[in-house]
Amino acid sequence: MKCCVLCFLICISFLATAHSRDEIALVIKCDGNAQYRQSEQDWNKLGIGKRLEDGDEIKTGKGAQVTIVFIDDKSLMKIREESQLILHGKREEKNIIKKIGQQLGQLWFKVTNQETQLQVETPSGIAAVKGTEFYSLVDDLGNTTIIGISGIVELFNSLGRVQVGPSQTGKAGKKSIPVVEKSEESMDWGTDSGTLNELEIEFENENGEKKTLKLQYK
Amino acid sequence: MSKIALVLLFFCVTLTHSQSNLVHDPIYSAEQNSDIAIRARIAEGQSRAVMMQVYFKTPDAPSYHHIEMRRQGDLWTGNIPAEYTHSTLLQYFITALLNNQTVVTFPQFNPYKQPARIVLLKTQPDSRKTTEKDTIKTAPKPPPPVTGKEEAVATKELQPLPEKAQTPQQSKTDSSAAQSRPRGRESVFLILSPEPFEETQSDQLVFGVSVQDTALIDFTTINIYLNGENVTTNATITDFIITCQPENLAAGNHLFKISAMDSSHSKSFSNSVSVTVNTQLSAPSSAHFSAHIFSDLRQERISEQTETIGIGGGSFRGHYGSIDYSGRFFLTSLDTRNQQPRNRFHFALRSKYAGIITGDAYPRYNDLILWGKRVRGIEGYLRLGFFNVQVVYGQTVRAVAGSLISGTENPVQNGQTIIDSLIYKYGTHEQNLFAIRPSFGSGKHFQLGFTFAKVKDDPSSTTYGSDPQDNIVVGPDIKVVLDNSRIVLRALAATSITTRDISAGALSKQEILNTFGDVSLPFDPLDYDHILIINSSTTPIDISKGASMAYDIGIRLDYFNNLLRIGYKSIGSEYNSLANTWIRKDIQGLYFRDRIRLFSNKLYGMFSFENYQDNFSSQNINPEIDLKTFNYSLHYYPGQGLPRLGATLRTHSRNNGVTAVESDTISYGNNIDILSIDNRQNQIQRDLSIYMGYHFKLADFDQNIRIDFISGNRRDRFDEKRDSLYFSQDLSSSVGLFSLRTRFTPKLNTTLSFARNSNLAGELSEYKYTMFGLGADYMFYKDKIQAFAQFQSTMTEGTSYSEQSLNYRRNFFRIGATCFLSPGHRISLEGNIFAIRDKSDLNTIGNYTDSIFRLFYEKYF
Repeated sequence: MKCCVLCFLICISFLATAHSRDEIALVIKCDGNAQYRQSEQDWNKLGIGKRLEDGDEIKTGKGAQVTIVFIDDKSLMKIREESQLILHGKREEKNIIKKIGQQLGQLWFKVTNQETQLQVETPSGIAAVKGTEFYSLVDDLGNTTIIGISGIVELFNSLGRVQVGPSQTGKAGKKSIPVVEKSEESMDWGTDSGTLNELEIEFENENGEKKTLKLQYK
Repeated sequence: MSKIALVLLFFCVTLTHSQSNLVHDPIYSAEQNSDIAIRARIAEGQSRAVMMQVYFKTPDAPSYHHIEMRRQGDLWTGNIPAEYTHSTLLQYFITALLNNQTVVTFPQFNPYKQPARIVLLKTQPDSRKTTEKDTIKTAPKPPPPVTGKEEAVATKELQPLPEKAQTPQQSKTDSSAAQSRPRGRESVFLILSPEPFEETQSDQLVFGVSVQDTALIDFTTINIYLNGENVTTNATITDFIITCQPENLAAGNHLFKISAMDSSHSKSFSNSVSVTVNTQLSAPSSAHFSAHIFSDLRQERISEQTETIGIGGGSFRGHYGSIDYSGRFFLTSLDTRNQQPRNRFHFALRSKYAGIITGDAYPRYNDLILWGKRVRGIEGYLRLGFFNVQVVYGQTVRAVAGSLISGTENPVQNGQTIIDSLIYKYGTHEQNLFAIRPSFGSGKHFQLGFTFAKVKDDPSSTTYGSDPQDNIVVGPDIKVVLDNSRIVLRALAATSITTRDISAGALSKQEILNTFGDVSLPFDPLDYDHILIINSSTTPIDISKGASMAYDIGIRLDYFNNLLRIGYKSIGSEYNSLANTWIRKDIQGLYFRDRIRLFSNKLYGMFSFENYQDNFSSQNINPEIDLKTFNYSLHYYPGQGLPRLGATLRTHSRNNGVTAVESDTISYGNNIDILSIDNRQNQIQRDLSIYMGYHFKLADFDQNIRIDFISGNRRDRFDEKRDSLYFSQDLSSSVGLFSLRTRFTPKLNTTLSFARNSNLAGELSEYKYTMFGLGADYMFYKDKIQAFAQFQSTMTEGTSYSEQSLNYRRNFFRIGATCFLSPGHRISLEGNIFAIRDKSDLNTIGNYTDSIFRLFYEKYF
């Protein structure tokens, strides 16, 4: 009997532990194929309304885009197609200290609260952020690109550190010192209202000749 | 012929001028931090909008936001949310997709670069106080109407706006945080989603709230309301976050509210957000299923002949998983077995990798070989990335029987009376087409394709038909795309072999040798007559002469606001593709076209040049003709409140190089006459077109004016040197057009139009006509019915070549009404009367009246 009670208590404790991970973000938009998993478990389909917890891993397929909002300060993060990352968040009083492990792809951030800490960790560097808007890109080789839109992002690795300001691009490789330069091309997908939709209009004249006009809109 | 062309040109211009457009009262100023109501509708014509959107942004914002407008009868409305009206200036434009598959905009030209502008005026200073009480005054006006008991609460609980003006992009992300960021005692709830006044679809809506201070509230007292109804049981509540995802929310405005008591139950906390669910946010292409049906019943009385015509049709499209399906049918009572088919139908299944179309298909494989020909049969494609293939098989011409006139009796020959039969009308043979085009490369950067097309008439399919033909065309095509589609290289080639009469079948190798003398084929045509019938009517029998070759090489460059296109093409005299019968033959030359955009697309310039040699192969006795065409055009669209201007000049010259008049002699009996043969061709045609359009306010009414002047002038450079009996080829004409469309109220519109045309042909025939028109439409009965009426009077006078007088008057009356039963569902009835009074010398009919009555119904699903 004691063994049963003990087992029951252990199970309860385990379940309690399993569900004690902090909820840190909410998925508010999800277009295309996106998946999440917890602790190396099977991948599950990600959808609108999904609450994301500390340690959740997300990956997006071709054409997908996911928007999540952090629940402490309403900071936004958009995940573009063919990206992969791990979310980490630790609650400290009213704020959540956020660490995004970006393995691949493109992210956009709009950090609204100056007081909370957000870091993006990539294979080749770390971007530390406070109250700013920026893009974080990681390519197949693990190289990191930070494109500043507003505010300052500090990009560093073991070889050095740079500050990336508005209209500046910071780059870091696994074996190269971070550098900063003027942005050659600006990005705007993060501030677009949504993903690219396509409207096909088929034209047909009296002879039955057809043409299809594709209108892309957001 | 030229006169007909001019009349057609005139009517084309008139039609273009009266085509459907988007009617909108521009908003010149509005109050900051308030919703701006946008209203628009489609005017004139029979077109109907199926989707309308407003795009808006501040001048410094890089991209536009948009909202879907909602249909209310004929009127479309939408609100630019207050959260985007913090700045001092807002740019906007409206686009509408019509049911005739065209897109119209306001402003009409270059709306993206030259949008309409709204000056945003500051609200009264005393309304910017930040106390909770005064928040009611400064709060953005919520989109009307919010349903349910929570309406009053919603207005009170909306949060004050951020102090500083922001760009829409900033406000998109910030304002929601700022607006829904709780203040004071309400700081316990932070609304994460949706954005205030966001427009979304029901299945993409999640209501998410973060609890900022969990110790402050009693979680058991949390209540969530949707439009006043308590939906707490549908919500998920945990320590820091509360979410609720309502299902199947109806289109319209909805209010979410969350409330809770503090732990001592002495204070309450709440927050709320308004959202608009819009079912039309789904684009037609992403809809699971959509359909459209229509019927059109006409009774036409033209020249005393009365005919009733019924037309019906429909279409549908949707997708199942990754497969798209679509279908279309068009049926008319005019379809008869004695003519080529007028009905149309098809059903298609398409996916990214494969597709099949049955019914009427219009394959486009190679411009020179097969390009848009209707084929009733089956078409398919396979797209595997590097390797692709397209194939089509079906009927291009239906067998139609010819008819005979019999009964002419000839004298008795050998004791029998012979009755001659004449073919009154030639029939057509059934014609079938098979074509295949394997290709390599996706086409995004590179594609190499090879097209094979065979078209053959069935000689047994009809009697009294014209000569049945057999035709094979083969050719490659290549496309190379570079530098992000700024450079596109394209080259096509084809060669054909055609037998113009296969009724006698194929000849043997020896018979070919006997017929052509110097042609020795390496095979016996009788062995291959199932592929192509070769006989004495086959051209070319010797492919090496090249007359059956065609090619077209071109490059397109898109740099520095210039769209440049240059190429060279050659179509041999014997080149013949029965799968593309519209192609002009025996012509070769250069073409060049450049279009440039300047000053933020306010100024468009275009220059094009073509130089072709017609009849270049000299296969007949006619001389080669040099054709040169220059086109210059300039269009200026300065933007809202200013007139738009445009001018186009086209010069076309035609010169066959013959400078002397030839002579020949004709003898009849003992007489010899000298025949003068004047083959000289050296003409130049100049066409000038100028227009001005202006949209302005006068007497507080919206006015849209347009003035056009078009002139054409053809001069024969040998005119003065020709024989006096030679009809002069000189021609001059001019057309002036004026129209004024006035919008008195959103319900009443009028159109006033006037046109004057004069033509002078060879100083023999002078012809003028004048047109005056007046029309109006009026919307009533809760915008459910639109009545319209139109009157147009056209008067002509002049003399014909034979110096007989022309005096003609036509009065046209049109009256009718359209009833909008529901969105996308309408019925229309109209009558058209044409009263013709013809006093011309040539008139043998007298005065008469034609009429067309029409009943039209359509519904979108």
